[in-house]
Amino acid sequence: MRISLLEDDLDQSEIVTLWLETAGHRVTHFGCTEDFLHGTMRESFDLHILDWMLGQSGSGLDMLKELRRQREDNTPVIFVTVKSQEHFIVTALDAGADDYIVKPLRRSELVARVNALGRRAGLLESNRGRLEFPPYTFDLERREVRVAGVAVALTHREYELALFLFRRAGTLVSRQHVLEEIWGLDQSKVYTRTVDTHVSRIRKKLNIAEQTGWTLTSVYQHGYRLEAVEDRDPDPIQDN
Amino acid sequence: MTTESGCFDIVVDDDATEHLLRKYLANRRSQSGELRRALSAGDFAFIEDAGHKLVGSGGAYGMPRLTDIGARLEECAILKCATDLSAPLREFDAYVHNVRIVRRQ
Repeated sequence: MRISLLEDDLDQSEIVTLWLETAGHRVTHFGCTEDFLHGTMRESFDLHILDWMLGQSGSGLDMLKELRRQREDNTPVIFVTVKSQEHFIVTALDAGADDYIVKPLRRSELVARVNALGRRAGLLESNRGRLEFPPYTFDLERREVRVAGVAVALTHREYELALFLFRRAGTLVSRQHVLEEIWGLDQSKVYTRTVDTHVSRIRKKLNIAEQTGWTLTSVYQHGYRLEAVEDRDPDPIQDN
Repeated sequence: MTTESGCFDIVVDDDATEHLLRKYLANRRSQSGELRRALSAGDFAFIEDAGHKLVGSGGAYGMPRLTDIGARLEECAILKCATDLSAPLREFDAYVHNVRIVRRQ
């Protein structure tokens, strides 16, 4: 998963980054609230890890409120802090945190909690079972997408991109996030245009349109948002 | 783990962790003088912040003793009690100068 880490203690952020990246995640560190606010406006993340007390720069709790109330961003959040009293934990959870860990952090526990949240949010890779986003069905073992029961031929990259977008349905994902996830970390030779082309192809091949109950929109200078149409048309899908 | 010579060994398994621990320990050793200078100058805010960060980072780096010392530094600094800071500062010095990073055999 792509994880943002808001932590003003560089020692702490370095060890946490090492643990999470060793576990297969990618971490972007923000050392103050201002950088976090700007960074999360530009980029999308699968999970935020927020420290509560950030010295002069503010507090992680304020950032959590900004995400939940101002931006209506429901990205999973783990709070990490030395504050262990019950009322602090309740305050953070009531403000929208999904989990709360008291420092000092322990490697196995942190990685396990991050993975648990990822699984709960349906973001962690799994190659078993099916994912249903009617009328779309992802058969994870056969790496196949069906639209109303009809299999659609997708390339490896198109399948990965479609699965990535459906797993993050309703979320605005940045092009950088897509590049990292689908094309890997070495993306120096991948152009943004390539991503746009792939998005266009899966939109066409899967017939993602209001008639099928989904829209896939390109957001200028940011990325893409796949979302369900609330008042969806019950008409059967069109043939490609 | 405490050795016969009175040192504390932190055992690591890989290069990346060893690199980070050595850097962390070097930073703590240089912090020792900074804390003493802050105490002389009556800069309790500096000690409070340093203590608070030790609470969070000590245990994460496999040095729970630093978490305990950090909590006492933070508490005394909040109370602006210079005399009570002497003991945890001495313990901090003793610990960071006697801890060793060793690779698992």
